[in-house]
Amino acid sequence: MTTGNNSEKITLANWANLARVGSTTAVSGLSQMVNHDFKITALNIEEVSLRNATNLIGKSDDKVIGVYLVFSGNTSGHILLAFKPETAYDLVDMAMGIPSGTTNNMGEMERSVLGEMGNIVGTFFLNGVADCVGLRLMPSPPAVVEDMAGALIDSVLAEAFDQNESLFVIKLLFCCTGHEIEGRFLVLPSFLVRNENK
Amino acid sequence: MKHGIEMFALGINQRMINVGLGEMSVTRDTTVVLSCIGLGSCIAVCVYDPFTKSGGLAHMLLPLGRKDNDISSPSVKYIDTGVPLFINQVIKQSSGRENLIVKVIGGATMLQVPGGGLLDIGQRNIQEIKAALAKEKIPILGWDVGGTAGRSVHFFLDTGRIMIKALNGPLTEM
Repeated sequence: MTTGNNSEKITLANWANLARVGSTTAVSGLSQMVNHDFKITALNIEEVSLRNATNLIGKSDDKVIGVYLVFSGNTSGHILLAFKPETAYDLVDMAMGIPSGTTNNMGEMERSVLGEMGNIVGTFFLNGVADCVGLRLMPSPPAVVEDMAGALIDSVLAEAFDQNESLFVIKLLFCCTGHEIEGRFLVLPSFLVRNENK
Repeated sequence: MKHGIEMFALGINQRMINVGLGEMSVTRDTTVVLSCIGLGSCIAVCVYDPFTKSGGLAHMLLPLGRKDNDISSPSVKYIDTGVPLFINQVIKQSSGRENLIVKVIGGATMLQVPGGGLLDIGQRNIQEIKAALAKEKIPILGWDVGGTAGRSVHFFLDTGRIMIKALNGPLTEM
């Protein structure tokens, strides 16, 4: 199996390495922003179909807070950073240097902080990948959404599945030592598709 | 607050079927509650025949299929090709096209990214479902579309009742 657009062919194994580099860079960016050490707890590339994609960020009716970006340049795709609300509130507290438990809802300030967090994590990821393979990748401004996991992922997948019946998702779980922090970071690159003409 | 079927007191014999992305379910089983939990920019089309108490729900993802789509395995992923397929399935279980009650839910604009490609998928889905149902000559009798929030939909086949819940909105009956 290979991945790629018309001009570039990247094997899935190579892409796994790129995802690791990008994810390490992204988590490093998050650590710098909130001044706490984050580490990767799981990183994998999964092929998902429409049927099994809906639970990528939690049960459909779970409330989540997501930060969404699209990227463009030499290739395009989607990035989604998703948290349980309590986790997002903790991250806001950490980023703002205020006591844990202070934030308990999403106002304009909190949205701005999370948007910036998504921006940094997404940009660091893209830079990590771009530096390795010489691609030019640019993220959009972030959109912060608070809604049901099903509604959020449904909207992201609508565009991603326009071109494919299944797609590859880079799924990263990370945590922060000493804090009950767990986040999901999904990258859906449009060029990472099954190539039947291997 | 949960948005699943636990919001309702189901009858002893009632059971929920969750209709996933790009899927449809058509039945004459009045114990069934057809549901979409967490509907964003997608469209849920609920069709009911009160005479036979049959109906169906289709969870449609995108407005238009590509010309090179595999037509050997048609699905309701795309509205333009999915609506005829879905309506034909429902008609087979019904007392006739003229008795069908159609209601449409969804098409939210969830992700407002400047320069992003997803800005108008919800709106495009709304426009296409209107056109596709008009082509089928079936009027839309209920309509809860657009906005910026996701919805959960529960369609009760025993009565044709549809219950809708947005994350922070009230539970409403359509």
